[in-house]
Amino acid sequence: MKRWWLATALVAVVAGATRLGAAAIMVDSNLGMYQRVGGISGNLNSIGSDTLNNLMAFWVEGFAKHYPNVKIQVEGKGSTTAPPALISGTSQLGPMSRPMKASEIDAFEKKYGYKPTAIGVALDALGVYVNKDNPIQSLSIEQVDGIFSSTRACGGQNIARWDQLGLAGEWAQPVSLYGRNSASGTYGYFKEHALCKGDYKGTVKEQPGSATVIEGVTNDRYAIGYSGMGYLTAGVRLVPIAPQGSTKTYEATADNVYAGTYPLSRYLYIYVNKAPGQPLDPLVKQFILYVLSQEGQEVVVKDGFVPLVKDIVDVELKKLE
Amino acid sequence: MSTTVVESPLPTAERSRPLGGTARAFRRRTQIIDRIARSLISVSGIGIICAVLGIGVFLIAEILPLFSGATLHPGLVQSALPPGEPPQLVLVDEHQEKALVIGTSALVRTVSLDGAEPPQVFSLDGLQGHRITAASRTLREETVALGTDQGRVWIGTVALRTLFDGSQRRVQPSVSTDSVFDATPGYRITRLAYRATGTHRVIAAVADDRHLIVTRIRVQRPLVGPARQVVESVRVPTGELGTPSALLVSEDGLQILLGTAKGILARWRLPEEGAPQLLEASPAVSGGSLTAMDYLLGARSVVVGGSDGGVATWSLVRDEERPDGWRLARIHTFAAHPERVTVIAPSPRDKGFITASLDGTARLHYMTSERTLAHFMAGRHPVAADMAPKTNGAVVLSEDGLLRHWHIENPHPDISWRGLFGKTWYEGYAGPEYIWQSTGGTDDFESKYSLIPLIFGTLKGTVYALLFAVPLALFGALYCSQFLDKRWRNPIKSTVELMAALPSVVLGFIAGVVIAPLVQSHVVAVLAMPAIVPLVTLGGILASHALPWAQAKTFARRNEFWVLTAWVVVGIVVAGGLGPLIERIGFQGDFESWLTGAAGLLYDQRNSLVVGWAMGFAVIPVIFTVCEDAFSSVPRHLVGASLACGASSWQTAWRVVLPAAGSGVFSAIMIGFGRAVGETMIVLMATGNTPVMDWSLFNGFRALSANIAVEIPEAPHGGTLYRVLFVAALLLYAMTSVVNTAAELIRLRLRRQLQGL
Repeated sequence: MKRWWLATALVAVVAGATRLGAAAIMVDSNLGMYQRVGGISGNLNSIGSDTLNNLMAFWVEGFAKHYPNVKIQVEGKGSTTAPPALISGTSQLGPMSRPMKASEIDAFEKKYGYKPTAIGVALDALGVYVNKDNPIQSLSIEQVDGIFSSTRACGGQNIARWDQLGLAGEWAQPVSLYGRNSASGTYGYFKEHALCKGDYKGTVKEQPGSATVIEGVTNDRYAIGYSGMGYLTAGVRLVPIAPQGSTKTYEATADNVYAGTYPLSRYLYIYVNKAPGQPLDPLVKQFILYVLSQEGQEVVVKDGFVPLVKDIVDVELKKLE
Repeated sequence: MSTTVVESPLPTAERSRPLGGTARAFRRRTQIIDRIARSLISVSGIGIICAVLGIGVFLIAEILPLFSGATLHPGLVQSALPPGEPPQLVLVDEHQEKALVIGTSALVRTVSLDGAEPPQVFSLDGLQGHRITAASRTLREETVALGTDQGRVWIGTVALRTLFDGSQRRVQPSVSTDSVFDATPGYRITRLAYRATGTHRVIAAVADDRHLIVTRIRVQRPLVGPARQVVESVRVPTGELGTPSALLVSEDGLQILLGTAKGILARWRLPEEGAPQLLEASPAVSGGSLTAMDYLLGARSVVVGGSDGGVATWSLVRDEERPDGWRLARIHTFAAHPERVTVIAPSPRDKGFITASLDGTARLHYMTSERTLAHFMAGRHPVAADMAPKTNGAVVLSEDGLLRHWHIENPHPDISWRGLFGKTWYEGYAGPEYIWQSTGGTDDFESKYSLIPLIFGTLKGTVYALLFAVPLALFGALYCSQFLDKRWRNPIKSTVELMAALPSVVLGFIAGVVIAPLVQSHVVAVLAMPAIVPLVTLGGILASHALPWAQAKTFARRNEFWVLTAWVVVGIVVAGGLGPLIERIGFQGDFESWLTGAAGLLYDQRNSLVVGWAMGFAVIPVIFTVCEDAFSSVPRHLVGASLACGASSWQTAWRVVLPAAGSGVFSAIMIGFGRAVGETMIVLMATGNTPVMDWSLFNGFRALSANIAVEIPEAPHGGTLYRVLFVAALLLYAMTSVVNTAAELIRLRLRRQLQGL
């Protein structure tokens, strides 16, 4: 997804919304409510991202209110599990928190002859979390790179202690690193955008899920970790980030995501198997329509992520035809 | 002479009569059942051995494809350009149906690779009367820059796109002009490099094989007035470095890489304003010129080909002493071609590349594993080449205008024995290292598959687990069989065996979530416990010597267990209380910072101390049970004889029972070792799965077993990571097989030695 779509969204947001504040994100009221249609039944499997786990669970719950006899199973072990499941037909929905790699698209194309379809379903600001007691004001991308990376491709210095970032006194301690494992799309996205495609240090503790990263940072005073913005709890706080080469810092808020100023903003996707020139499977199509409706985007807000606006939704809906 | 007649006890009739019908049938039935049972047991036994060996054979079969090379299937050879028109550029589409060829005339020609469709021709705007003399294309981008003999540069899109007509797939060429301008008017452009970034465009051109001109086009948007293009051109003096022979612009458009006729590889920085600054110059080709150079995928490494046929890859590595913090280092060298290298074609999907030399020899290489995977013939004097977007094909254009095409099958180029078990120099690193980092979110990530950190991690976890478990289990079993009141023996044995039934995932979860923070807040107390608890227990028992009324009660066999347990609990409480005191006195109030300061070690919350404890918990029941059985089966007459000779219980246990049960103890430790090596869930949940390679007790590790569990769900079936995980499985299999077999042989030998007792 090109970043300039977010700029278009900014225009729509500024023109349309009046109550967009830091405390309450409102869903674009121009998105239609979901309309129930008849003749929808069957089962669906969703295998993929852990970041989207809660979102999928809420969406399934809301979808079941419209179609009580449809059963959807959700499994979220990491974005990298989505392409093999879509290819083998084990799943019909592939939530991913990063775009598919060319090799994954190839494997899909080898089986079906056409490329998979990516539907953007929500926006996320990938947050850098520290313990709630940590007084650090902000971090630049070069500093994040220096903390997490062994190759420091963004050009910063190696940072191993909190006093190298200006904290003093009892905070002059080594930094304890938490991250995700290699199956995670969040791991891949962070490596590409925060580490400038460099490598992680060997001392980053790999956690199986987004919530366990937060749990690790909550229990470990001198810890730092990364996870989706929807996983914020009372035991941690989000650190404002300055983009590479700039000193202006941006918080992980909806406004900054729409404006494209927060450097770690990203789309969250659901990949589906749609042959060109042929309609999408009706059950899958209704699920996606539900997700892109006002109800579905309210779920996005409820889970702590950033909802889509009408212009983006229109583009995504075209992909379903 | 009198004969003594002995009365036979049996009645005569029964003695002389042969075995009757029912008895014979019974005997035959017994023999048949015996034979059936023997063959069934033999078959089962041999079947088990075959099954275990079969696992090994299956693992090896899954691994073998890793080391196969690449296969090339030649396609058609066709004439792509009219005779007398040397080629400049070729590109092929992702389905290998068509190729686009540009020669010296300002025309783009499409060639159908299977000969099915007739060739098409498109003309390029703005190049009438010019002859194309240089071309530049960036990997995975559609933009192409062409330089002419009169110094003009043409920039535009030249691509082959896949379109769907309903469900019919077509490959369509797309040619459009973006801009045309005169970069070096009056001079012939011999080499060209082009890069467009978000903010500006850089065109580096070598004019007449002598001068290096760099042009930058920036779009300025003032607050008032229309946007305007700012073009600045600067001549970069190459001076004593030699005449320029190969040229590249970096991905961010801020650096120029130059290869010269003296074989020097030089790097310049292009600042916002002012003249380019020379950052470094290193000799890349000894005794010759640098004839070909191109970026690999990711634009972090360059492949350099020389006039001596040598092929090497150079990468930017961190060097704090340099002005910009980086330097170019030669990280891999490949076997040389017989003659000079004329063309280099990188793979758009991974770190592979094709090199071709003047005599037509062409090779397919892979950078990370330093492997040359295929040799093939590409026709005399190849000038342009391209690898297909999915890396499953290649086209080479030679000077006579002939286009050759190959399909490539290259399943696992990125693995070699050295990559798995030796140090490899990865791009961006200061030197060769052992790294395990198998995936990234993008295609240009260099997968690092060294198994050494994982083997080290497995051994570290096992050593710490056994260090904790063996003394406790061994002496516990000795106490249980030799000293404990007989009433307690069975309940205790059953309880310890129940410990073995605890699911390891629960142990790992408790260790990671509950125990690790607890240990972190009471580190000194935990470390002091092995010293304080025995001292307190011993002190307590000795102190009770002094109290006469307690003597009889304490040393009555049936109360001994309760008294000892009470004193151990007191010891733990004392250790917990003394912990903060020791910390304040011995470690200036903070153990963790003392550790960092004095020993240079970092304290990690999920460390080997916690994992060793948790894994010990899983291994102790195994060792305890086998040891206890071994001690109890020492013949009673040995123990009795020793006690009768006046030895105390301890002397008997230590000097008679323990050596006699030696083979059983050894076997128990080996079984414990095997269990600890294969333990997956505890390591997975209680460590951070960090692939570090040091023996520190205070940080984690990454074991082979936990690694397989973490990575197999996302390894694409049949891919390189999948097969590398099978190599890890084979290693575990070999470790446990070798250890168990050796243990069994030694145990049998020990038993034979002690049989005589």
